[in-house]
Order: sequence, then C-alpha cells, then structure tokens
Amino acid sequence: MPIDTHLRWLKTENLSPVAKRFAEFCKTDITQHENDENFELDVYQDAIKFVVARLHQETVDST
Amino acid sequence: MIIQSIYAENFRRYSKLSIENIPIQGIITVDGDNEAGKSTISDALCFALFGRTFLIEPKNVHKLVNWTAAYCVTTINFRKSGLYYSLTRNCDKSGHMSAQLLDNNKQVIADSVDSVAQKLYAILGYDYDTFADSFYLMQKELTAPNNDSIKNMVGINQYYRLIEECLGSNQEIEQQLQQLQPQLTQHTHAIEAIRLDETWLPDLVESREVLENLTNNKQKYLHLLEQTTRAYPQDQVPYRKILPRYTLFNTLANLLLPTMIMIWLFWTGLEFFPQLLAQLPFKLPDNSNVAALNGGLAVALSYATCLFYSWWLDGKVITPLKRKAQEMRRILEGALQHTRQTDEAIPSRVKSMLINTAQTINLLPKAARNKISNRQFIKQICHYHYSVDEAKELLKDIQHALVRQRNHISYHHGILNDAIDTEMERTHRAGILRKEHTQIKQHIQRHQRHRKVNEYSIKLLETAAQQFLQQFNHVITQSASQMLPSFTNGRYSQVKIDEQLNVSIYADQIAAFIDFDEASSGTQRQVMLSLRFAMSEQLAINKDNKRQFILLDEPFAFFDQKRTTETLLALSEVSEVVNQVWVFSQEFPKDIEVAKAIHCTTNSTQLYT
Repeated sequence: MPIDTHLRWLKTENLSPVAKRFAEFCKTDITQHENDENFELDVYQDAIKFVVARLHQETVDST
Repeated sequence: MIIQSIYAENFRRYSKLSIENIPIQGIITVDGDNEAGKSTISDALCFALFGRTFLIEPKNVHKLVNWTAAYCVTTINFRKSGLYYSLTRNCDKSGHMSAQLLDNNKQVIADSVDSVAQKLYAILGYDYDTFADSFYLMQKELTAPNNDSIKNMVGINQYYRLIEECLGSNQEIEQQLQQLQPQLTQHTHAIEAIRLDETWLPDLVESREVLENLTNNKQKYLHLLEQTTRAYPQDQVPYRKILPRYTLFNTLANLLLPTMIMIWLFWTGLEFFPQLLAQLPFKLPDNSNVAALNGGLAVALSYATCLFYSWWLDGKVITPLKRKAQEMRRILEGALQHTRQTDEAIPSRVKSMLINTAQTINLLPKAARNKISNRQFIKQICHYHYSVDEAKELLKDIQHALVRQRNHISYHHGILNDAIDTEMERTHRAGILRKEHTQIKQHIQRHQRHRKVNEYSIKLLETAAQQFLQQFNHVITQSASQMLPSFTNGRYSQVKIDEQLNVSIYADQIAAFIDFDEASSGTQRQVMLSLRFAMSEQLAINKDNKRQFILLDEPFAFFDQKRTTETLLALSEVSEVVNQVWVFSQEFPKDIEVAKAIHCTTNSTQLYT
C-alpha cells in the first residue's frame, strides 16, 4: 500500500488557508519517508493532527 | 485590502483632509512641494491602521495632533475579501488614543486600541512591522525586511511560533520526566521490598475456611451430644425397666404358639380321626376331645394375651426408644468421626506456619481416643447397657475432646486471622504501590509520546517552512527580476532570500550575489522598490488578499524622467494583486495617465478630493 494513502483522513476542504497549505505539504512530505525504517507513522500522523489543528484554530480564534 | 476613502481632522498640518472616490485599481499619485503634506496622507493612513507612523512611535503620537487643536481624528474606509470596514482612531494632546472598527453594517466589532489591533491582525494577516516592510515603502528609511516580516510574508510566522511552543513543551516534558523517573525507580524498589507472594493470601483464607468448617461441625456435635447427655437418663431407665417384661411375654408367646398348635392337632385327631388314635397303646379318657378343646382354647387365649402385651410394649416403649438409640448412635458416630477429622485440607505451608507459630493441633486426646475408638462402646450405649452415670462420663469425655479440639482450632484461627490481616495490609500496600507505579509509567509513556510528537511536529514545520521559503524565494526572484533591471539600469538582475532570511542581490558586473548592505543607498532604494513590490504581492497572496494597496513614498528619487515614466506605467500592470498603487512624489511626468491624482499645496491646511 503506498504510504501516502495513510493520510486519506486528512481533508483540507474546511481548513483555514494556513492549515490547508500545511496539510497539502504533509501529503507530499510523507512520500519522503517511504523507505525510512525509523519512521513512525502513527507519531507522524499525530504530529500532523496537532499542527493542523493548531494552525486552523489560531486562524479561527483570531477571526 | 483596498483603501476607499481617507478622512482626517487636525492631523499634523491638515485641519481637514478628505480623500474620497479612490479607485480600486491603478496608480494614485500624490504630488506637491516640500512641506505640502504629501507624507501626511500616508501618515494618516498608517496612524489609522496601527496608531503610529513610520517615524513617530506610539509613545509620541501626540505629536501628530495639529498644534492649534486638542485632538486629531482619522478615519479610513477599506475593503478586504469583499467585506467593507470603517476604522476610526483618535488621539489627544496627552497622547491618549481611542479606536473603533465598524463592519459592513456599521456594527462595532472592536472599540478599543487593543481589540482593534487584534481584530485588524485577524482581518489583514499582518501587523505594523510587516506592513512597514512590505506595503509601506518610505523614502526616508530603507532597510531590508527583518526576519519576522519575511516569515510573515512567506506565511510561515505561525510555524515558527509553533516550533517555539513545541520546544518549550519538550523542555517542560524533560523536566517532568526527570522528576518521574526517580519516582518510578523508588516504587519499583518498594514493590520488590514487599516480596509479595500472590498465592499466600488465598492459601491463608482457604485455611481459615477449613478451620471455620471444623469449628462449626464440632460446635454442632457438641450441641447434639449435650442433648444426648440430657436424653439418655430419660430413655435408659424406662428401657431397662420395660425390657425384661417385654422379653418375658415375648418368650411366653413364642412358647405358647407351638403348644397351642400341638393341642389343636390333638383335638383335630380326636374329632376327625378317632380310629387313628384308637390304635394308640393306651386308652384315652372318654372326654378327651372336650378336655383338648378347652385346653387349646386356654393356651390360645394365653398366647394371644402374651403376644398382644409384648406387641403393645414393643410399639409403645421398646421401638421408640430403639429409634432414639439409633439416632443417638448416629450422633455418636458423627461426633467420633469429627474427633478424628483433621486439618488435611489445609495447605502444607500454612500448616508449617501454624506449627512454627503455635503448638500442633491436638485433635484427639489420648484418654478419650482409647475409649471412643472402641466400637463396642457405641453398640453398648445404643442398647442402654451403660448406666446413666457411666454414659454421662463417656459422653462428657467425647465432649471434652471436641471442646479441646475446638479451642485449639480457635487458637489457630486467631493466628490465621492475624496472618491474613498482615497479608491483606501488605497486599493493599503493594496494590497501592503497583497502581502508582502503573500511573507513573503511563505518565512517562504519555510524556515520551508527546515529546516524540513534538519532535515530529518541529521537523515537519521546519521542513515545510524551508520549502515554502524556497518557493517564496523563487517567486520573489522571478518577480523582482522583471522589475529590477529597469530600476537599476541593468546593473542588478536578481534578488534572493537565503535560508537565514538574509537578502542578497545579483550584481551583473561582478556576476555574483552581494549582501543587500553592501550595495549603495541609491541601489538599495531601487532594489527595495522591486523587492518590496514582489514581496508585497506574495504577502497579499499568502494572506488571502485578492487586492492590495501599496504606498511608495518618493520611489523615483534617483530616476530620470524617462525611467520614472516607464516605471510608473509598469507599476500599474506588474501585479494583478497589488493593484492600488499610491505613489508620492514632488512631481510626475505630465503625459502619464493615472487613476487618480491628488495635489497638495503648501498654502492650504485643508484638502478635499
């Protein structure tokens, strides 16, 4: 299974522009770790969730 | 963000300033001699937005109030992403400021200096510093944009804030881990020190149950033996009294029955077979048949009497007492069995503990054992052979045996209770320690996981920031390179921002990049014009600004007339986003067509346009 399919849950439609740009970056960045033996997918996904949520929330809070 | 109108009252040299009908696209020129108030217009705009100007910081804003007035007011109306806003800011001579931001429906959405600043940042996506480094190019001061401004323009300033947050969070996690690790070790040692055997408490409890069952059984038989002791005298006396009489009549009945049969046989012979009896060697009296009849009747009567009486004694006395004796036998056998009942069900190591702690359970005292082990005793007592005193003595021995056993068991029960209490307390302590140990371990695991997520987040953010910066750099280089040759007369053709966010320019003469600071001030101005324009465009795009204004104060100071005209024409078309371009200059070429021209004069303190 291609590694980028693990980020199918990451929807960008309702995100703020800043969070959306980062989420789209993540979808391409994950492919860099395809053959990385030390890569921890679950931690990576949690990190994405954390950053995307914070970037989105920061925009929502400020508006 | 597009400016729609600017109003000011008592602001610097203007008692009244009103600029309306500002076109959303194209070049807006502001011309006039020195001290005519050109820069005051950009100052009014900047003050309304951020409560300061390029040269006057917030603490000195009272200097912006006209010297003849007590206060000044500025209002700008602007549009952003299809929404209209009205922003008013006042300042008095003491420097006290107030601000109010209205939305499209004239509803107040912020009404203090701080809340307006916060709301404005949310709407525009940049603060004064970024504004001054992008959309506000002043003649008097030209510097390369600072790092924070560049991050903001690239749209990665939030990334760096998050990176700082993650680093701070990891520091806190590290401190917490340093506190938790010794606690975990301490709990591990404490648990080991208890050396709890998980099977010991169940063994103790099970042993206690065995002893409780033994005690209950012994108590039960003690109670039954007590009843037996009371009942034996009541039963033994009548039994022993009636038994001879019963035996006598029963024996008589047994003797009379064959006698009666013989007499009746003899009578039958006399009556029905006289010829057989006639052959006897002796002669029978004449009335023999009558005598035989009478004798038979008398024996039959006697037999019936004995039979009935023995039957009556049996039913009334003997059988009930025998039944009671059987019941007594059952009780005695049970009691005997329980005097032999030992602690075999108790696990051997508990038994060892009890032996080590107290004397061995003496289940059966020797004297009592000798007596009651004799089966004859049971048989005899069940036939009421023992006298009342003898029976009482024997029953008392059994009771004593049971009582002694019960007392021993009770003693061991107490020892077991103490051991169980101690073990439960140890188990409880171990349970608490284990629970705390698990909680600490879970805390550590959560922290370690959180730290790892932070590390991944930092790495992701740094990689993303670097990538976006490269993209930004590429766009800036391309965009600025289109304008830079015409601004610098072909001496410089490229501009770039490195990973450390330093600005450098490509000097065609030496075919190399030089630091921005190394260029002459004139060149810096020309470079900055192209760079700012390019950056402003990217900033507007990154902040979701479809249309954006830019203020260029004296941008062509070192340009000749021809270059100024060409640049002005280029500025109006160079960007689809930064398309409301305010240009401030003493004069402009006569033949150029602009969207709006504003003329300032030195002899008037009012401007309406």
